[in-house]
Amino acid sequence: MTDPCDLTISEASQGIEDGVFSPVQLMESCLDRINQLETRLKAWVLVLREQAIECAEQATREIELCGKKGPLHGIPIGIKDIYYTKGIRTTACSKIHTDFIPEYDSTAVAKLKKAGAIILGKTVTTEFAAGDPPVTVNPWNAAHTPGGSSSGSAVAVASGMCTGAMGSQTGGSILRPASYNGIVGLKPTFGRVSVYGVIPVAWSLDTIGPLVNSVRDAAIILQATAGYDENDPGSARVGVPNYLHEIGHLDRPPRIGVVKDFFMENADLAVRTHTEEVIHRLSLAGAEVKRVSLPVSFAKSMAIQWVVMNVECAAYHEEQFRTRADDYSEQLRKRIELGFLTPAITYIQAQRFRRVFRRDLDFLTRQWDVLITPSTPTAAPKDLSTTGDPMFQSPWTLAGLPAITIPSGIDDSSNMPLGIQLVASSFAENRLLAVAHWCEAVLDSRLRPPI
Amino acid sequence: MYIRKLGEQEILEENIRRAEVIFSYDRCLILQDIMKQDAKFIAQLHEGFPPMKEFPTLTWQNHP
Repeated sequence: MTDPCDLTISEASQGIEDGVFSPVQLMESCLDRINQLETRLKAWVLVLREQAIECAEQATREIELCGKKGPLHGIPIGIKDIYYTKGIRTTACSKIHTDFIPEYDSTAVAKLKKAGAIILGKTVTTEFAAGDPPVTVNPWNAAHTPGGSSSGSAVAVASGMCTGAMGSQTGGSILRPASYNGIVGLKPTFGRVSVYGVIPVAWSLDTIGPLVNSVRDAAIILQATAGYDENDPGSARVGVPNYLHEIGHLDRPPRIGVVKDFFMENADLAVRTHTEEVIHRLSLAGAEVKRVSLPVSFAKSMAIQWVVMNVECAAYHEEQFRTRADDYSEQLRKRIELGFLTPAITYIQAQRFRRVFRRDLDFLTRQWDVLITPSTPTAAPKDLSTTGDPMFQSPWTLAGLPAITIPSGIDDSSNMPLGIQLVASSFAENRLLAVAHWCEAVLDSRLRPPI
Repeated sequence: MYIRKLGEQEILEENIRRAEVIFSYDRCLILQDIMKQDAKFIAQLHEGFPPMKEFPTLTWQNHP
């Protein structure tokens, strides 16, 4: 019998509803898994054991009395340690924030709690969600990076230490660790989910989203967290569809645009071969599949991302950095220093080029249900000094478009997971999730690390 | 030209000079490699200009 902690959110929720186990038993299952693995995997900054059990007991009572609030009621969720959690240390895994205790929850955490989710603990992030390698260990193979910056969230979910977790993406920090660990990661449209109370990397790039074990679970968390927030200046006044209803109602096979330019050119042979096989399987299953070309503006996208992130990151850290530069990890420190050196006019021109790029990608993505690419250029690199290369995720983050990675197989040479990335147009998460759900069913690739 | 367009090497040299003013000399040595990458990216952005009508994409204008 499957341990409760190895179930998806949807399955666990059904198990609670059917009385197979209680929220307390589910929580204990997660805590047992943490006891077994955490010393080795180092996914957590802080595990809220007593508080989580108390919340699980309360959820049990609530469900017995009034029924479930929804699919997240009684479900243990990990929170990346850049999200404010009221009364609970939020460190960003940095010496700068070692003792910081927020006085309020981030909007996303508040919404998850309102939906009945239980915050199990704070997961490891790379320092300030930037590029320095984390302490977290990849459960598939300890010699390979777990990716980042949402390292702890990815590993915790992949290894069954929690049923879902929250991450953030400024370049590739949700989808890349999700793919490297064989799970699902969703980066919504910029502004879809409030980032209020989330320590920023770069304000005009940051997006938050779930790392989970299924597309349905991604829809469940998105449903709970999406929506306008007046506290977040980037929050979009766009209505929230019923993602869970639409996920199972794709009325025809999807139309998928295959982006070979840049992505296949920069993928290694194993990823290229695997992705072609996946596309072929999707085509055999009925998907309309056709190659698409990237716009000319794509050529500048890496440069734009680089400049925007460096400058905005430097602006956020300027006050602390002037006196505490030595307390910053090296890669983050260098990016901040570059931000200080970048002329304002270069930043503004980058943001103007970015508008052209956004418009071009918006036009491209509206012609297809989704675009498809490999999630990453290679499987998780055998290199613990890196979190991997965000080049396959960064363009979509830059354009603010929603993207999802779903596990699609194993790289035979490294025995590490591989994923495919689907991208949709702005605020088309309903379509993205519906197509991803369809692809997930075709590929049938639920992966579990050998733990 | 009144304002010269700088190539990648010139951008790097300009940034090294500015870094030496802001940071320590030792720090500039550490930054050399990443500054080369930075100069490469900035040189790409100096190729051409965005259309004159384009506003920058800033947080509150990020939506189409």
